Amino acid sequence: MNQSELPYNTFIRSIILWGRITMIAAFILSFLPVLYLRFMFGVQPPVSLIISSVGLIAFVMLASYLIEPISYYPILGISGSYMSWLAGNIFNLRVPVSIVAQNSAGVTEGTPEGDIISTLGMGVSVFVNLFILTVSVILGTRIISNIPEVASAALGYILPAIFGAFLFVFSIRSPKIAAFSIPVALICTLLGIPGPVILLICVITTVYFSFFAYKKGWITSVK
Amino acid sequence: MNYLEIANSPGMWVASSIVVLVIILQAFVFMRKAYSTGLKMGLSKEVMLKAMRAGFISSIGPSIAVGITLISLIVPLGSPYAWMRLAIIGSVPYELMAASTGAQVMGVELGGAGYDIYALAISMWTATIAAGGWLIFCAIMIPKFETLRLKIVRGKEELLPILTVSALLAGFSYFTIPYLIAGGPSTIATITGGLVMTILALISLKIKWLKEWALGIAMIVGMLATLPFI
Repeated sequence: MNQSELPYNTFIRSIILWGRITMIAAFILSFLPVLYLRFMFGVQPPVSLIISSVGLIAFVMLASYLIEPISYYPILGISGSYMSWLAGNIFNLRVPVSIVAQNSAGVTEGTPEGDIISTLGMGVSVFVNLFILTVSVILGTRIISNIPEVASAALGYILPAIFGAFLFVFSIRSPKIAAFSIPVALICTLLGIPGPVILLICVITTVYFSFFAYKKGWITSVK
Repeated sequence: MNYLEIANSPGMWVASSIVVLVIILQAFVFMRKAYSTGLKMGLSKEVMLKAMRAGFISSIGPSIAVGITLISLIVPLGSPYAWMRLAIIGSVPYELMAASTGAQVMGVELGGAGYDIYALAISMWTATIAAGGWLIFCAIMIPKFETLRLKIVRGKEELLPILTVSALLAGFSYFTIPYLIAGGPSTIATITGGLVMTILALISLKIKWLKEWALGIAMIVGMLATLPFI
């Protein structure tokens, strides 16, 4: 057993414990707004209606519930998953931050060192995001509605810019894997397959492909 | 009383803030443990602080993008609840969908005529309960995913980074393709962001400090490139 294994295993065990506690506590506490409406103002919609609407949305989101946590897991790891599924904004914020942090630290993704660095980077992103959200809410509707339309339209394109940035960079780093995953995603999207299902197909086929390619010696490492 | 007065009341702020404290607690606890474990694993203080700084800088742009979308939730649902829901779960499409579903079940449209405090309540109940799909599922299953991950590589540890990068490429391919093929400013932003990031990544092999800023610069340039086309 090498030196760095024991502390990391202890880390993981305690992350699992704290991760579970915080997610369950957060879920319970997230009911405070609706309980506030109920106990302060006596506003309680009929339970039957709540069941209907929850049923509807849960049915729509079912594929996402089941597919996304597993699909993102190899990227996020245990602590990254607990942080990301609690705080949200996964592919537009947490994943990019995790990658940049690991890259600047010179660690490889998917390793214990990568996991530690990723946790640190994502932790910072939680604070930064909360701060900026708070500022946004205080500046609020006034400022945001006074931004010239062109500027606010342009701001809507931050997301494709971020995605493009990472797709390009990873494609250059692992061109053979990208040469597989990009066409698969393209074909599935053009075929109109529902979102989470595309993600599942992309992840499974790309992983199988790259393991196969590794066995054949077409790719050696992803550093 | 206009329902928004209640939605924006100090009481609602208090109710919405408690969860955010848990999120802050989790980040703080996880970071502290990661830091002390990192030291034991041989990662230096300098490297870890550098990673945190990189995390800080690269969080700003995407967080601003999230902040912009906040308004679409504030208008129908009030500031405190919108703020809370972007801090936890953090998915604007999901929140709008869940809130709309609740409203429709009551026979009104989200934020539309007849959308009152009861409609607000059912929107909130719907979004809150249905988020359990991720929160509870993940709380239980995440450790099992690790078992699954190790099983997938069948004990060959060198496959783990390959697994991660494959999932990353699959994920980014999936998310980027719709923007890339949409045409117009969307395509421009995607390609420009990609080109700028690539160039900066190459330059940052020589100029190291650029690594932390590359994402932010690529993002801004990609966004600015759309201006002539909007």
